[in-house]
Amino acid sequence: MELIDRYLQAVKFWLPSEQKQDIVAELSADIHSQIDERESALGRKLSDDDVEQILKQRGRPLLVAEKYLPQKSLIGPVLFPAYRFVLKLALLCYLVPWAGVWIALVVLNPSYRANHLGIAAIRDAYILWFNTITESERPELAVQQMESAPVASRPRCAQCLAFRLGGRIGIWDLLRRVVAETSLDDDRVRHRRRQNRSVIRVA
Amino acid sequence: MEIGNEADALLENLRLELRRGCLVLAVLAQLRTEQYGYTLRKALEEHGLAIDEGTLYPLLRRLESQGLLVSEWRAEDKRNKRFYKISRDGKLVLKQLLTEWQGIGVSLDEILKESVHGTH
Repeated sequence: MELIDRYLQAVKFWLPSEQKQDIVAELSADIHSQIDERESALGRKLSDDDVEQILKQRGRPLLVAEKYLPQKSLIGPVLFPAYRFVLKLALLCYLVPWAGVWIALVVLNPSYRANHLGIAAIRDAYILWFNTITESERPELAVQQMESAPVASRPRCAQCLAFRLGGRIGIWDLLRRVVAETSLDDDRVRHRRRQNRSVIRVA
Repeated sequence: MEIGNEADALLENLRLELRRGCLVLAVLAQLRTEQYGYTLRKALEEHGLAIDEGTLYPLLRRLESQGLLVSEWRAEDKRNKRFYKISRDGKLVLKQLLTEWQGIGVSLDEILKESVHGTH
């Protein structure tokens, strides 16, 4: 019984509010009729497994409810070929040149590489994964590595995290610094870099 | 046996499409006597037109909203059941659909006879 109620509840979730009581009542009557028939055929009360079988046979609640709903698509079948064409056009004329320019800049322009957040994020993630998670003496190693690496190439977030894991700065300091250092404004970053070369100061 | 499966799938699709076209007619005709969903399904199954309830119940709702069926909730064996019956409009539509159905049958017969003669 409880299983049936939960099933019906799940179906009800997807139904439009005006009709859901009605539809679910009908479904409930149908399920119970089926159970009655099965019971009289087998000559015994149905176990939970049997009821589960019956419900599984009907299908998932979402699929059951979906049949009662009008067929709607975001991009209708009539318009779909046009949509696909425009999508192809957009990919070709926008994403491909954009990606090409980005790759060229990243490869050829070192300052772009240093300042651009996308690269920094990927580099940070890489260093974070390999330097701070994979090995157990990680924190000390990572801190050492950071300290020995040239300042300009130190990734900021990874650095912060390494210092945190090494126990050198508190968590709130860490958060404050990460927020402060991760700047979306390239000018500000360049200015700060020019001002003080070491982005992280160990307290 | 991929080719076999593809052919089977195609055949199954076409069969379903054919049956789907006849479903409304079958349901309207069967509901000349009053029934509720479960017995209707059983009756159709006995006559060789098995429909699963996921298709049948939405169809019944749609036909009712279109005015071809009337339904009422009634208690039978301590259970509330929804009984469907064909309405007056439904009877008219059924008659027209039957005429259409027989017309299609005749056309198909002619086409089949023609092609048989063609091969001879």
